[in-house]
Amino acid sequence: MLATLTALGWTFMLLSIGGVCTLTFWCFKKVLFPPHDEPNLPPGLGP
Amino acid sequence: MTNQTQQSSAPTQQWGSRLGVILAVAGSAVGLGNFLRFPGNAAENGGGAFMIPYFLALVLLGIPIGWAEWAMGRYGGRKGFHGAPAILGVWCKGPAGRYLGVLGVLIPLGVYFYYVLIESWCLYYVVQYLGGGIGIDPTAAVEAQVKVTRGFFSDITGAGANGALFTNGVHPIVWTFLVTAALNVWFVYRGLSKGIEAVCKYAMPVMAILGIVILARVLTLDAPAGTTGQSVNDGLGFLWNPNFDKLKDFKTWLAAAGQIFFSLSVGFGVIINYASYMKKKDDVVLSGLTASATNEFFEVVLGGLITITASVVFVGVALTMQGTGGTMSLGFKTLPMVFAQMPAGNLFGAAFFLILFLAAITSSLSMLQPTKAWLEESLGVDKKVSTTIVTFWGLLGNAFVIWHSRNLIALDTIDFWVGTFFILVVAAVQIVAFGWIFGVDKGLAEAHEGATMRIPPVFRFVIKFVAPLYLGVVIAGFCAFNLPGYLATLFGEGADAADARKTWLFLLATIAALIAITYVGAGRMRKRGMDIDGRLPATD
Repeated sequence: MLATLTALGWTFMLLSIGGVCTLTFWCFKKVLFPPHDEPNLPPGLGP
Repeated sequence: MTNQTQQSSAPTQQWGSRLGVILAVAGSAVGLGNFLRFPGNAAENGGGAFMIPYFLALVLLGIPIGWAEWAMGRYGGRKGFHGAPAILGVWCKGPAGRYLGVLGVLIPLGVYFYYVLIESWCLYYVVQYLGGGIGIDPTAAVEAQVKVTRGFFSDITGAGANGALFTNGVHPIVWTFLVTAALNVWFVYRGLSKGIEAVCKYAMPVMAILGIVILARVLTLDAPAGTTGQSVNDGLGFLWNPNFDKLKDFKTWLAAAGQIFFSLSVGFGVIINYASYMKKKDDVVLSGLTASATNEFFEVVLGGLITITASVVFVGVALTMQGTGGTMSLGFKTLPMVFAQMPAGNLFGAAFFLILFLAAITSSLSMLQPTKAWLEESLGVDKKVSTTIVTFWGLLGNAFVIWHSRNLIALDTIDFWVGTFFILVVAAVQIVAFGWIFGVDKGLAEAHEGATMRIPPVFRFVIKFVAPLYLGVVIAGFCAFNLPGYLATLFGEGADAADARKTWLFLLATIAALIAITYVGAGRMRKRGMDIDGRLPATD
């Protein structure tokens, strides 16, 4: 791990950061801009 | 009077908004560990390869236990309970859960005993950097710089001897601590919406913006003249280049699970209390996921790119590796040398420690609230009395840790037992209560009340089987690798062992008081017809 950033290092870094940013963005979008007519889902397991 | 949902006589507090509770939970989770512990942990345990067990633990352990805790808290709140003992008593259907739930009050209170001190160190560093730095000469030999940073840290922590902060008058850090403690008490007294939520709504965006500014600066740093292997690329490579051999080591998997676990604050006793102020129709599934995602943003994106990269650029890989041994070492000993070398280093030093201070205060605020709420429901006192009790209880613990400062043994002992081991125990109780005692289907149905997204069906299996098993393996590994050293210290000879035993006596006295108050509270709630054993469904 003492070398400069390798292609595999780039891959792990971009996937990790990209994944976390995407999830965070998606969550905040759902929280801040909920669909107007979205009813509360009934209790129970998902489909 | 409905016999199962008799509410507390105290007026119930409420969150001001959905975003507010999400930021409050995320603020509780985001702490020093996101910026300092995570990058060190990753660099030591396989770099990029560490992210494989890390994300597996997030999906199989952190997020599902978090969902369970959010749902348990809200359900308890619907029955009029806000403290972990009462809520776990309901979910475990009896006194065993209630008394194990005492740990859910002990953890935030016990961690507060030392955490607010670390928070005051951050504030002290901010003040020092605004006033010109901590006295490091960037042109001096590296050994001399190391000596200055370590000396400064030892001086403000009083690590040289017990009572060291009071030997030559009162050390200025004590006044900084008092200011920090007063801020905490004031915001907690103001209540959920006007205090904790208001602070987090400002502090979280400020932290994110400051973090992004510092990140932009770090990623555009030039390597110092005459150095090799100290570019930004080398710093990123040090942290992110994968070493797959490390995945064969069980300790890597344990470190990843531990990092996820303690970073998300599940099992801490805070989420269960915060969620208890939500209404039946308030979403907990998306809120829980959003709080976890926010924590991951601060940890992986900001923590994963800033600290190690800057450290490698300015002080090289060798010194950075010395700093990755622990949160304190990287943050308070290595990074000050980095800021001494960096152009406009005092400004960036102040900004960085301000981020750490904000991360710390949004966490410490969450530590007093569960005890305050539990005192109110157990003893029937109002918020003035509960705030007064929790203030003095907190100050008593702070005073114990400040005085027993030699080698930071008291701090380390509480951190290990209360802030690490007991969290695993509470999380285990919670996931077993949710998946097995209350029942996973009933639990998921409860979580889906008011939900704006569904928990994917595969999590039924994860919550019932995978998470408890995974957690069991983590606890077993923790006992095998980490416990022996602390037990050896506790039962050993010498001054360190004596301080560790004194700390345990202090903790035992705290636990005894918590149990006594829980006992009184249970009797009081039963008399008022409240369903403390969870025999009946919530009816609102």
